[in-house]
Amino acid sequence: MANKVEKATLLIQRFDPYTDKTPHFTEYVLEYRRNDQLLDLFNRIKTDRDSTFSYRRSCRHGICGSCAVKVNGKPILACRTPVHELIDEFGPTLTVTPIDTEKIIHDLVIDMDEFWKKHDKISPFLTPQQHSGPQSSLQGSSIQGETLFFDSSSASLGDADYCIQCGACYYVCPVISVQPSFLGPAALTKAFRFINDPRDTQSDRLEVVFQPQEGVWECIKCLKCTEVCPKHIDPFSKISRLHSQVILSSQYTSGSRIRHTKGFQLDLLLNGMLNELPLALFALRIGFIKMAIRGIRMLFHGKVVLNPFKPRSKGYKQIRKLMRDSQ
Amino acid sequence: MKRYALYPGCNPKMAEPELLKSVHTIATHLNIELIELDKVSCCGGAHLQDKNPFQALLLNARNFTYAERLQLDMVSICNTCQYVLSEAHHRLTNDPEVKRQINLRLRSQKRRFQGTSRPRNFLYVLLEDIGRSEIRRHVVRPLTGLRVAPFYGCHLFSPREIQKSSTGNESPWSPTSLETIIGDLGATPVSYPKKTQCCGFHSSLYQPHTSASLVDTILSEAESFGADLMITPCPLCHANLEAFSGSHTMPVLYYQQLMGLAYDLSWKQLGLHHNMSVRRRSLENLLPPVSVHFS
Repeated sequence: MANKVEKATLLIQRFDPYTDKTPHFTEYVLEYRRNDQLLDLFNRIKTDRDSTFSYRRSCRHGICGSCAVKVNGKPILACRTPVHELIDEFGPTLTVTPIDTEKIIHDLVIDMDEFWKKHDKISPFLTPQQHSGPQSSLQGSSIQGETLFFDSSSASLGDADYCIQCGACYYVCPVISVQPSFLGPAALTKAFRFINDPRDTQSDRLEVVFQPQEGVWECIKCLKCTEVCPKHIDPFSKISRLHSQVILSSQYTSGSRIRHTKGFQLDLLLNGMLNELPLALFALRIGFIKMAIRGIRMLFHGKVVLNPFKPRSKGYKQIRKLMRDSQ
Repeated sequence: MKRYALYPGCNPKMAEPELLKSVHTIATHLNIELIELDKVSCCGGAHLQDKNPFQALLLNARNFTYAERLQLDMVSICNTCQYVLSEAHHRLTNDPEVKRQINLRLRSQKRRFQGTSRPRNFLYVLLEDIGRSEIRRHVVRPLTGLRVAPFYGCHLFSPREIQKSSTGNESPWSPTSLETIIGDLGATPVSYPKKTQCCGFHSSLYQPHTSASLVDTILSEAESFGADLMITPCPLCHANLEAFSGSHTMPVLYYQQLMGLAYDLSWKQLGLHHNMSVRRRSLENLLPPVSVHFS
């Protein structure tokens, strides 16, 4: 089976800034074997068919993060995605586009400047405590001069350090297209990695992460980042933990976003179920007035429950007890 | 008769009554018994998980115990409930230590999570257990000529590794289940790239501009592909698509309501009077006349 040769049709988006006004698709019918990755087919096109075909690639082992492209809208690493898996998912014709169709430089190569600038914003490097230098630690028997890092600390970072900055999560995030200032899942995952590193001393990173229009509150919890991450890092879980950190932090106690999460829990304590009317009042306060027109329309269509004790689960007493025992 | 435990979720109990009405109506029509669980809690909606993940897991373990006692699979009708319940089930059945800790807490209420009830979604119960021939058999008003855009939302499929057994192993990038149902009702499915995009519901309260922009892109694209109306399986998507429709006039229905229209069930039974995007005369004008012949 491994040597069986089959045919795949690749519709690849091409664009040469010197000759083309707009991108166009070129069809390539290629033979592939079961162990061929998509990158193998790209290489064959470049060597056998058209040497001008441009795409990024380097390590061929899912480490450098260069070869991310979209196939039928799904971001993948070309070097780590078998062609047969793509054909199983999408059929015999695969449409290959750059990972971002708005910032094309040439064919599948894009300008990732915006992505890197957002990484820069969270200062993606360790700032350890200043110590007296390696000389003193070598001379003395004490551990002064070393920055220790225990296994337990490593575990708290989870797999956040495995990010290869391929951009798959960033360019699939729907928020980026409507809120371009959002830092995106990759930069926030990197921020999580340093915020939770006990060796790091840079305290203003949290402030960047919680900035309105840029930080974690812009995340809409769609899980697309988790779905596409080729390293299975689950960026959404890191954003969720950053949410948790800000909610539990004494530094940040107000704001509609924090009240929303706290109100959610209070509503569950009261009824075991959620009623969005009191939750919206609790979270938005005076800002609730802005929702008045929508609220009246909803009321007119029987979509508002005015009683704050409804809907109420018949098991609400047990739910309340369980929640109190697990606060 | 097929039997399932129905996890109703909060939104259908509160802001989306048309979903619960149409689900019960379609279930009765297709001879499905749904036992609505009335002692369960909210799933946490991916928000309680931010504040206290253990507490959210505990509540969902408790939720499953009600379906387990009935020895039935637990069927959800909301994408986010589906995702949260599937994730909780996956964690509890794959991590014996977490399951032990959770069951220690549940012991005071004489409950124990065993993992015997599968989290499922009503859409896939219809397609997998009831079957397409049965869905087609009840059609008395084939929706010929009606161009319907499916909107799946995001939480129905992701993360795929966890949800694939609940949602027919559909690809989150190219699902076809709603198109299948649309076709079986005699209508024409209109596929468009944004059918699996997120509508932004989970930040709609405090980031309404994000929701409004996302909804605008979804409805605009569906309109540009020539759709007459849109259907969705999720109450949160439905709430957002209606609340932030702006100048768009495309009716947004639940797929259960569309089935009900093809089965010629009453407006009231399907809760269509609750839909904010639906005007009766406009919708009736889109629908073909009733006929009893359909193959």
